[in-house]
Amino acid sequence: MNSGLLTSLIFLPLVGAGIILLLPDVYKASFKWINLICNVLNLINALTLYGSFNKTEPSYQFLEHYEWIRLDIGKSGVISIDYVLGLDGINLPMVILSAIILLIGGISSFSIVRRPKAYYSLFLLLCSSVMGCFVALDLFLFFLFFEFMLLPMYFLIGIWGGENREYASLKFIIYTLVGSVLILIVMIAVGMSYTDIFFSKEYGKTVHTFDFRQLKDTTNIIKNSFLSIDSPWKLMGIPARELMFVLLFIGFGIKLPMVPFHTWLPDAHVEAPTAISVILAGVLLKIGGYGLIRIGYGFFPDIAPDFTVWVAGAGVLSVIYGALNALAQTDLKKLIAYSSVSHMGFVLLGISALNAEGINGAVYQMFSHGILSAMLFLCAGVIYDQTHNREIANYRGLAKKMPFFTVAVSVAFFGSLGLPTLSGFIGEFFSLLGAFQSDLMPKWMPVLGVLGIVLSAVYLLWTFQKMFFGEYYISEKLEKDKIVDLDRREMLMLTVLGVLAFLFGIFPNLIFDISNQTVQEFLTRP
Amino acid sequence: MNKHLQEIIESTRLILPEVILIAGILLLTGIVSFTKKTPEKPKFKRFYFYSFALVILYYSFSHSHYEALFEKGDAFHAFGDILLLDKGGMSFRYLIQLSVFLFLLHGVAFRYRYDGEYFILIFTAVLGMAIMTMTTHFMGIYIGIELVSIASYLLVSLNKKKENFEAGIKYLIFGATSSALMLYGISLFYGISHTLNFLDPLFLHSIHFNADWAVQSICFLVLGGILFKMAAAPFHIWAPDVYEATPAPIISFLSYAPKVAALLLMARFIEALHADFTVILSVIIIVSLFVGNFSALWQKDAKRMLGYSGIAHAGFMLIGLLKAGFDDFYSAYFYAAAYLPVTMGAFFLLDVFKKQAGSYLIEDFKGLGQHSVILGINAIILMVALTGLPPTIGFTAKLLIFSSVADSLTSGSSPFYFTVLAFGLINTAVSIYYYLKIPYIAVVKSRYKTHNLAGIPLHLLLILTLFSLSAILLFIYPQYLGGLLNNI
Amino acid sequence: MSAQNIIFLNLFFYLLGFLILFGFKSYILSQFAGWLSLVINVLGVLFSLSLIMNVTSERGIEIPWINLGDTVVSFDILLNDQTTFMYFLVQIIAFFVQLFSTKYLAKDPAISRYYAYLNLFILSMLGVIIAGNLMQLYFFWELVGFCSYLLIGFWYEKSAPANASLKAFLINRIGDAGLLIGIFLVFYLFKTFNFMELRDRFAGVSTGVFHLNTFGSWSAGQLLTAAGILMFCGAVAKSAQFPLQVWLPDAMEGPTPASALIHAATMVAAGVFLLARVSPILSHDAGFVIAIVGSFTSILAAYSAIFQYDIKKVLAYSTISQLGFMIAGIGVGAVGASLFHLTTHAFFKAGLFLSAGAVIHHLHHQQDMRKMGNLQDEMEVVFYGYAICAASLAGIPLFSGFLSKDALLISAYAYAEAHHFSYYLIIPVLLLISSVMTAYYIMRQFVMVFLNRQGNPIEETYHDILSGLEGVKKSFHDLLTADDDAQGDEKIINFLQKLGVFEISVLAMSLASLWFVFSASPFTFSDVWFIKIFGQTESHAAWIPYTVLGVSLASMIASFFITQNEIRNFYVNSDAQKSDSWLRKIGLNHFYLDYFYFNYIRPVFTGKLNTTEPEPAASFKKGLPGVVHYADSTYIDGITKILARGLMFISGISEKAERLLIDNFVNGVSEYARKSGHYGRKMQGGQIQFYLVLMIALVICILILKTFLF
Repeated sequence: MNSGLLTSLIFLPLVGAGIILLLPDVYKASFKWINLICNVLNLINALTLYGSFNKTEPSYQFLEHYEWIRLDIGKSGVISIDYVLGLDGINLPMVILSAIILLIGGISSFSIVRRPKAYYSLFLLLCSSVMGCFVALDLFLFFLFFEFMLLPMYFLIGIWGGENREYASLKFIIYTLVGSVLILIVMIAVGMSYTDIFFSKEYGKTVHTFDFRQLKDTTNIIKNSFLSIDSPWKLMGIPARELMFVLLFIGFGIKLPMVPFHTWLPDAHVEAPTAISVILAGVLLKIGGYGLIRIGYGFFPDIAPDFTVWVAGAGVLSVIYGALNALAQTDLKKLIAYSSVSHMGFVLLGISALNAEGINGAVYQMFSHGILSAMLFLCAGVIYDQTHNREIANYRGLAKKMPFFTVAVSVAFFGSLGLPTLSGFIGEFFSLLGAFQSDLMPKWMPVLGVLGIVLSAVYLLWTFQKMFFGEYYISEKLEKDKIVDLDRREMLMLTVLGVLAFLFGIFPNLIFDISNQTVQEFLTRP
Repeated sequence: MNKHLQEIIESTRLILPEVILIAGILLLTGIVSFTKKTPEKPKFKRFYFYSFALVILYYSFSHSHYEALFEKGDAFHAFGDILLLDKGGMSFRYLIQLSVFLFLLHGVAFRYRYDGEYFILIFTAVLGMAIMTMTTHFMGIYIGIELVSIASYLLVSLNKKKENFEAGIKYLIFGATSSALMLYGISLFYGISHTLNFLDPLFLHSIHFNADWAVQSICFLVLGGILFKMAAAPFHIWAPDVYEATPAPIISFLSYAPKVAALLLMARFIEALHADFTVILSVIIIVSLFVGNFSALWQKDAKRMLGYSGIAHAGFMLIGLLKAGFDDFYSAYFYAAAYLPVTMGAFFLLDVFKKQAGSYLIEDFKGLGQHSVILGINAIILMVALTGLPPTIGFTAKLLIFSSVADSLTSGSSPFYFTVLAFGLINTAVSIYYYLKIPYIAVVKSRYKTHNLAGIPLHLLLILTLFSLSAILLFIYPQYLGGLLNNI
Repeated sequence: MSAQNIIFLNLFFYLLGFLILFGFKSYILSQFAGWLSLVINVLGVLFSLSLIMNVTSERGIEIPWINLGDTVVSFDILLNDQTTFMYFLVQIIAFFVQLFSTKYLAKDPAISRYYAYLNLFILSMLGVIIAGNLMQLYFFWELVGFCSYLLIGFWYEKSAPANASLKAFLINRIGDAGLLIGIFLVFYLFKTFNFMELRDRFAGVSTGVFHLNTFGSWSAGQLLTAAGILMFCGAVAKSAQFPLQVWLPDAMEGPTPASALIHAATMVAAGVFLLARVSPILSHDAGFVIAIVGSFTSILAAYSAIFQYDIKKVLAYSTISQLGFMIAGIGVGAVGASLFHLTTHAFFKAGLFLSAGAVIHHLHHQQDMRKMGNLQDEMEVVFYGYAICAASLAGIPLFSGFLSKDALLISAYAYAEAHHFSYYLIIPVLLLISSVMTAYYIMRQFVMVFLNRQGNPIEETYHDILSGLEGVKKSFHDLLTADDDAQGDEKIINFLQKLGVFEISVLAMSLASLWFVFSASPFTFSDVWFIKIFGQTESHAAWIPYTVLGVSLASMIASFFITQNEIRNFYVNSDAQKSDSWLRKIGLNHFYLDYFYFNYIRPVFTGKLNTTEPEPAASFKKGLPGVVHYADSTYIDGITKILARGLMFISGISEKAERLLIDNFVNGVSEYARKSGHYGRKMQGGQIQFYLVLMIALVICILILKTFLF
């Protein structure tokens, strides 16, 4: 049972970080390779997991369970925090996505020359916490990794970012911290209200557990506790359980990001170095969606249907609002950042549908957006690296000079606007289909969501046309007058992602097969 | 008469470790008196040695003595009912002993050239705190607090610099006022109950005959003295200046030890009275958090900032005393214990920074974390621990604190619990801004001056790493702290 | 080989073709791009023939694709006559188009990219055709749109094609959004995407076996109508129907052969094909809306075609008009007739486009018809081919268009009749007027482009028709007799050399536009094998074709003279446009629909544009997105900033208060310390006392708070 594969997902990067920290600076050329090796090993590990995953089994697999903390807190019982890792159909796709995107991010980091030791050790810390966040099956453990992502991210943006990096990194951390404070409240409430019946008997005291497997089960709620189903506790008329759901919704919504809590994202993206943008958009945003499914909908299945309209409304709002904002951008990276807001809106829409199509679609959309947004940011990075300018208006007719780049950008753009054969289509289609099939929300919501697809075509194609069509022209203001096509490294990254986008666009069952059983079980839970 | 004498002898035997401490203090005084002060050849090393010896002696005696004692029973009274010996007090004395040890370590690591008087005063303060941890008698409380206070005033102003003098005076005046308030409260209590021990059944019996508001008012007056030691608002005004002026090791000690001794005292007082202190405590907590965190936002001097942070932390500790759902003050005790490596580590960190930068101004820390990566990492860990984020013990402590107040929420319906919870959480989010400023400036910003910095001595980094490592290890194994505190 | 293997192999070849041509760039490859592509295409035609042999009855093939518990979406292949025939049709037209392109684009450096796109297009179009369920159809439907985008913008360095491609894609997206919602709605109602199951379940509804889902106050019938109309939205965009037809004339910026294939023969007909696929579940109301829109579009476009000068624009409007016919046909329930017209139209319109391409190529990219003329001798074969196709379009007996168009007209009439006329009559009437206009504008084009500008008109016409027929006969004869001649090889080579790929392609298309391809009798569609297969409503209004024919001929004659006059006017008075009547202006600008979009819809997004300047880079800043972004950065982000500022402000106050307290206190203390020596007891009042009082006051405040408030 304890195969150790999941543990190694988390600790391998940590070991790598340690090695990099210990190596003297003369070996600084090797840091990127150490980083790369760690990420490659993690990817191999993730693929092994994918290969040996039992698709017909809805519950957790590869479980690793060790006792960690048994804190006797006097009369009110024992706090039990365990080191539980496991995979099911919802987090396995995320783990694979993370492994891929982190590897790509590692390759993309090759262009980092300033202070490589600090960069790569922070990068590997980030890898470790991302992986931990996705495989943790204990709320405390999850929160630990969730919080721990902040610090590497803060410094990665703060040190290697653009001109306005201080503002962006601070905004990032304050926003995310507010989100995690909300989640912390839920964690406290959950910790107090749920008990592990079996262990309680063993200890002779109430054992407060954070284990997802126990928390999913509403029979484990302590009678008359804060979160009991009939809890009389209310804040301004909102019952406790609903309040907790709302807190989770907002907390993960900030991470997702959901309008109106999204304003940290454009700033963070614009200032972050390319590799970090890639990871931020490709992986970190997914934690919001994942957390909402796993914790929000997982722990409060009785509350979730009542909030469908709100969640879906926020999703639709994000879709439309993000798209309209993206339209108004003149900065390529900002445009892509807002498009992320728009595309992650579909995730909310899909989740809120609470049916197989919707939730599977949301998972798929997260996966697909991970790949496509990574591509988009890499593309933005290609241009930025050469001219140090991201203004769309400063470029025209790049197709002539950069044919390979044009192909890569078009794959990313058309993937993002939901062209079939690319993964974006499947995710959006099923999220919307699910939303439309759901009787929990009014039909105009998915209909408006479809409008978002139209808008995404407008801003992406408009940009594509502006930058790549027409006579070749580059503003005189820019530093470099010569523009070259992709180098081998960029080509490699973009090709891999492009192929993946096609692969998952044509064979959606690669993900659906995994997620479906879990989602079915998730939906049929009493 | 014989009986009384018998009891005094018995009692003295019971508090043997403290007697040894007193003997040590006297011995030190003797040594100091008969040592010639030669400014060109300072003898501070010798005193450090004596002090280490004394603290270790004190620790090992209390360890063996009290462990043996508590195998016979749970609690003992000494000197009539002035002193109460129980496991909780013992645990807290361990914390105090450890903090003295760390103070000495801090001082010796940076070669602070303290005269012998300093050590005497420190140990006098320790004695005062020891008394604070083992008394439920107003007389004992007053003696303990005054011992600590007077020693502290002197410690702050002994340096003979203008700032120290100012800070000391301020400390003294506020301390005296608080003591006066407290004495007034004590006298009122005595007036209504004719007893000075708040565990005395008579005391409880008689205060029930008085109007609730009157009792609460008197309680508040008494608490004033205790809160003053904790630097909780509104008895905090002395703190920032004292923190700024006093040498780091001393303030590191003074920011921790009196706080926890006072905490225990307060917890006992609240527990004994069975009165509802929610409102008073809530107001104190909220004001402390507010003043501490929001004023810290603007500080340029790191030590002063830690002063405000100490006020906020006092607020957080007090949250643990908001008693309703949890039947004990476990979370407050846990917080107190967890606070030890974090806050003393932070002062140590500042001294390392100062050694490099030449001042405590945060701006001057620029680039120091780049120069020494280990310093940078330690700065991050310790500041994260102060903020209360994982993976540090600060997080676990905050988690328990918030859990306790959230638990109170379910059982009680007072809006204050909710306000305190919300306020505490908001303050956690706000505080990250100024805490992270230190590592951010140290790690992210580059130094203006490019001239070579001296390397940081290895032993400093080692001790610093010890602090931050313990902050992390205690997060991973909170059972160790839990084991210590389960006695209470 | 099983049908499914045939299809997959075939599609795989196209994919391979696309990948090779797109992925590898070399000079040599670009030389052989066309031929490689042609080989693949020939193979495809062979495959499709074997598919026709293979498929005898309707059946579906399901290949597992997406499995989500209850919702299973397979990769379905629906095999029936519609499928196999369209499968063949697309590839055969594609073959000639590709053949034509080998010369037309021979000098273009990006020719391999062109062929790559074509391969991808054929692949996607075949995907649309074989799609057995709605999702899959949508999947490929989007892809053909994408290919269209690529091909319209093939010359991306020029701004006009780039703009046109963007416009085409965006307008199609709008339609597709409707289609997508329609698909969702269908799925909501029927719980399946599969066409065969849809049909079965729909049949089950009337017998009560199956119940449709409903929601809110909508009845199942209303929902069905809504679904039909929503899906029709997709067809509106793709098949260029009112009000989304504006992209098609612009799409003519692409290479002409591509226009022939995509924007005349195949892709634009996908909308009709889609509607044919879902026709079993179209409700009566939806059908009526579809029919009205189709016939209305038809007449609008035909009217516009009359006034165009650009040779390709005329054909583009004509395409819109003919698509309107087909759509209307679907609306009135004449699916067979519609598909028949789709087929005939595919051939003759492709022929017309290829002819136009040949003309444009011949005249070095001159597209203004008024500057053409006198080509009947210069481009003999093209002239004949064009004449046949044009006659077919005009609906003259002996040509396929006559059969198909009249089938549609009669169906429309029958539809109106079945509903006791009243306002249903509007459909056949509109279509009738439209077909008369068709005859008019195609005659106009014929005159302008090919005929000699001097001479006796009637005699000319007579000769033209006669020699046209003869030419056709001769070439046909040549082809037929080539084999049994002893010097056959040489003769064929000679013939080929003389003809060239342009001529062959045009001739092939025009041959397919003759009646005998479809029917034994050139005068009545009842013998058409096509319609026999695809089913047709009974009708007995045999008078209609002849009436139409009569009016059409009259309009052609009128057109002949009027056009001659127009040309003369053009040469005599080049300022003729100034005195244009509004009727003409409306036609030329296609009812100002584009103008309307550009000036009223687009500013919503881009704000008022200064048309004299080149488009400003940040144009979206001014419109709705700009407003939203302004709101975002000012208010939403502003809230954050205000919050932050508020916190800082509060903390500033707190800090200041602290500092004030402490500083003054410190001052007071030091003052006290300083003065104490000198003045002793003089320090009476002052600050220390004040602050102590303050502290005590605070204590008392808390006490009061505690005592009286709680």
